[in-house]
Amino acid sequence: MDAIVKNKNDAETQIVAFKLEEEEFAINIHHVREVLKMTQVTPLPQSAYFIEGVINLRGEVMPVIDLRKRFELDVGERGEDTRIIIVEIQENKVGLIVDSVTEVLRLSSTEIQPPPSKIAGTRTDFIKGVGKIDDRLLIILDMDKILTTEEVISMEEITLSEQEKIGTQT
Amino acid sequence: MEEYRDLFLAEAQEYLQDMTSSLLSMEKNTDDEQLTEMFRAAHSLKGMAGTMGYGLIADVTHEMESLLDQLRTGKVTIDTGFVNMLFEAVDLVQLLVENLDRQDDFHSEAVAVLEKLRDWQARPLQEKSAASADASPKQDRRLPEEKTPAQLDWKSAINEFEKELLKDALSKGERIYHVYVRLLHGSLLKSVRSYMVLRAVEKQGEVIKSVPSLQALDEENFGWEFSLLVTGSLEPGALKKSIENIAEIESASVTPVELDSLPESRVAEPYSGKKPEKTATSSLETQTPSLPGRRVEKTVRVETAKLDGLVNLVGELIINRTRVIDLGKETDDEQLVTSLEQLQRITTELQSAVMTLRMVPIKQVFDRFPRMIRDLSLEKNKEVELLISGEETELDRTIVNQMGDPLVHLLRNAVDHGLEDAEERIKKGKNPVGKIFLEAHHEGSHVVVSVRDDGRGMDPQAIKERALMKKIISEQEAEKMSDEEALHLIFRGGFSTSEKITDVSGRGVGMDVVKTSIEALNGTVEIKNYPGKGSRFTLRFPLTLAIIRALMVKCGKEIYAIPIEAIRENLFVEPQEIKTIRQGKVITLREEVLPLYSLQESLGMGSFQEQEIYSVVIIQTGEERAGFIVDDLLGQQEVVIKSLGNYVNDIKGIAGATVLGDGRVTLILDVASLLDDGRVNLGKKSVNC
Amino acid sequence: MGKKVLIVDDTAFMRMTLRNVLEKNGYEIVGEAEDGVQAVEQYSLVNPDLVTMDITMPNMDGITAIKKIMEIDPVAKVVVVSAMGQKALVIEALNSGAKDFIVKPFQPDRIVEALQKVGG
Repeated sequence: MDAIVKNKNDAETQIVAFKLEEEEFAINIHHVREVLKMTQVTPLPQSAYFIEGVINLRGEVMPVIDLRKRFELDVGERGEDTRIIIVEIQENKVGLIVDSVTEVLRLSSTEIQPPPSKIAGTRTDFIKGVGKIDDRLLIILDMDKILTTEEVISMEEITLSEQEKIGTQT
Repeated sequence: MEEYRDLFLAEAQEYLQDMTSSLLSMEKNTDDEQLTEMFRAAHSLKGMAGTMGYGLIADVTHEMESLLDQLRTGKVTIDTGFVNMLFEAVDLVQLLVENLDRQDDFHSEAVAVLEKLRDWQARPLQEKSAASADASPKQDRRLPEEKTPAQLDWKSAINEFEKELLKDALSKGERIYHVYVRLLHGSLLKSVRSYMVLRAVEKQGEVIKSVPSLQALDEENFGWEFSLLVTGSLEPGALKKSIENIAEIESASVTPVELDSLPESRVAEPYSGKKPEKTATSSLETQTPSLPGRRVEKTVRVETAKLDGLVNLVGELIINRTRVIDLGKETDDEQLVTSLEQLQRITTELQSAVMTLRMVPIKQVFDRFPRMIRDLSLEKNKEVELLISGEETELDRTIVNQMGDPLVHLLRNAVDHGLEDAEERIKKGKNPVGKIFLEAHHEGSHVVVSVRDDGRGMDPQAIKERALMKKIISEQEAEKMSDEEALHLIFRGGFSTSEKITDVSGRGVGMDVVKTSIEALNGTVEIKNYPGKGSRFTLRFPLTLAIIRALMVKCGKEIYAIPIEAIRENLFVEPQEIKTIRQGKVITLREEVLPLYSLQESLGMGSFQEQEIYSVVIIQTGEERAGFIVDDLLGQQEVVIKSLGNYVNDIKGIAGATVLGDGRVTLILDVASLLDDGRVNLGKKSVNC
Repeated sequence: MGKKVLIVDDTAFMRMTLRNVLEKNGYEIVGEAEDGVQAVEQYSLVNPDLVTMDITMPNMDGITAIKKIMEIDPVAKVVVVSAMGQKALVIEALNSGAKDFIVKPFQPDRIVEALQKVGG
């Protein structure tokens, strides 16, 4: 939390950080409308494999995506910490199921590095940047791209590219 | 300016519609009423356009008005050419009204139409005198006074009681006067004008009788003139002057009447002793509210967005009501239970009241068809009569707005393909004038609209051949197909997009689009064919779209809502009743073989499970029928249709979602696409045995 | 010298339209008011020959304004310029002392005719 206090300069980005497996991801808070506890989801037949179904958000029916499924991970147990992050992208509201939401952070421009350059076998086009606070690494996702493509995106691809990036730097 | 613009637009549309209907009936037979109506519409539109600064509209309507005026005075006569020209003018004004911001773009069109209108006016005048040929827009708003007071038959309308009053007045040394008043054409708030006249008259005398009645005056049920029978000792000249001093009064006359000149009354009304009609002022005054600012308007214009917002809120309320009532069931508190019942009743009433706000008469769509049919019949050189009934039938605004295009297509088809030309009809011993019937009526929670023609009917064989040629069906399919099924081929994609695009039915839009747009409104379409005698297309729409009745069914762990209108019946089926034909299951229901699907399987949510007895819902869209196996039937319920949002729209088999009383989301099935889908999945359609 | 007219209307568009029409027809516009309160104030200040009066206005409606003006000047000549569908209000305005009325949207010649009939 010290990071928030230290970095009060102008080029700050506010992000919502969450976990999938052991990886930490983040979304620009600009897209986030609210965060809910896991609720009842009605399955949606004949839709994309990663669409978990629809939920009722105060009378509004909204699709939710399981980010684990989106990133080709095993669907884990849903527990106390499971959250649905409601994001709004291009006027569509969509819920994202994540393992847990860790915190809301401010990152200064120096703490965000651009996405790693394209290396064969890795996918960097779904990443907006990598946040680095002390020894924590946050992969800042480009939700716009992730939601508008039906392509398979595997977590390994995303995290691998990020590790290579770190590798080349150190 | 903006606020007037909306008003202007709304009213201009109404006037244009008035003009169109008047023109259509004038073409059939010229009567004064239609002419006056048309004149009034042109005149009002001119005034409005003038105020708003739309010069072209004002100019065109002015010329229309002048021309109509000449028609009234017999300076020109009506024929098809005349009507066509006026239609051209109406079309132009329509175009101008629709493009208020781009008036200049239509300048040359306007000039052309204006010239035509002026030429026509100049034509007969050259033969007569050139004196009144001036058609400059600033001059002559008034009509020549061609109607005499005698045209209002006030004399024979006098009853015994009124006669007594007149005699009574005479015995007091008073006199009887006939006051005849003409308003300027296009006067607005005529009721208040007549009120002012009555007020002026009653300063000097007593109004015994009014023709039309005082009530008609108050309700503005009169043209531009009215007559009053007045008693008193008044000064005719002064009264005439004071009436004529009222704005928009064109002229007034006050003439003495002898009692002897009045005919014996035909209907002897018993003398009641009571005054039958109070005098004018008081009768109007009773309607005048004493508080300033209170309004008595009968209608209020409301933005549709506000209305939709209200409908949505009521939908939310209904959902929450159901939730509250469910909670209430768990208690024994009698007072609470009674209050909840009350709540249920009131919210149900509120819901239906709100839904009626969205209802509009189907007339709004029907109104444009007479004109369309007229133009088509001229173009195709076929005599056609369009008979409309049930135009007062009301249904949801959204549906009314969207049903126009499919209806246009069906009507065009009827003229183009359905009706024969006069020669052929005579040969067949039919009336040379073809008839098209457009009818609407309520049927339960549905509105049924049918388009019927008395033409040649449809030829199933020819349709099959065409479908074969277009490779829509295979030879084998064609052989097995019943005539009725063949008729439905016209709704298949690619069937009606003809290579030679006729102006009438062509336009690249096929009957498949008609079917799709009807189904998009939760509607269905049926065809009835009477070879040699005509055909009938019956469209069925729900009254409203926002809230529907649905059957809730359980299927696996999930609950689905099936719109009630798609359900034919529910039944239990034992395993031995299910037969397999070419890998597909079928059941026989009253000698009809129906395909049977598992809902769970169709939705891709699991596979067919053997059971001891199956719950089957028979679903129908149009002529298509099939059974769906579900796990359980949970009963009917009103559901508010919600969209799934843009992110996941267009899911096969799902029309939308609704939120149940307990807050969970339930999907509403799209039966039409499920039926299609079932067919595709199993690679075959329903089988005839 | 043309007759002096006070125009009362809460919309600038209507005031402008009326001013144009009336000035073209030889009237002199001696004042404009946006509501009933201003109308009454202006009436005693500019002492017009004729008043055109809108009915629905903020602060003070036209009917109340007519009543107040009639108290100040029992022979005031007020012509109501009403919107369509205000039948009851127009009748009330007439009973409150208005001399005549015309209906918006009006035709220029009709307002001129009304003013001529009311006050020459």
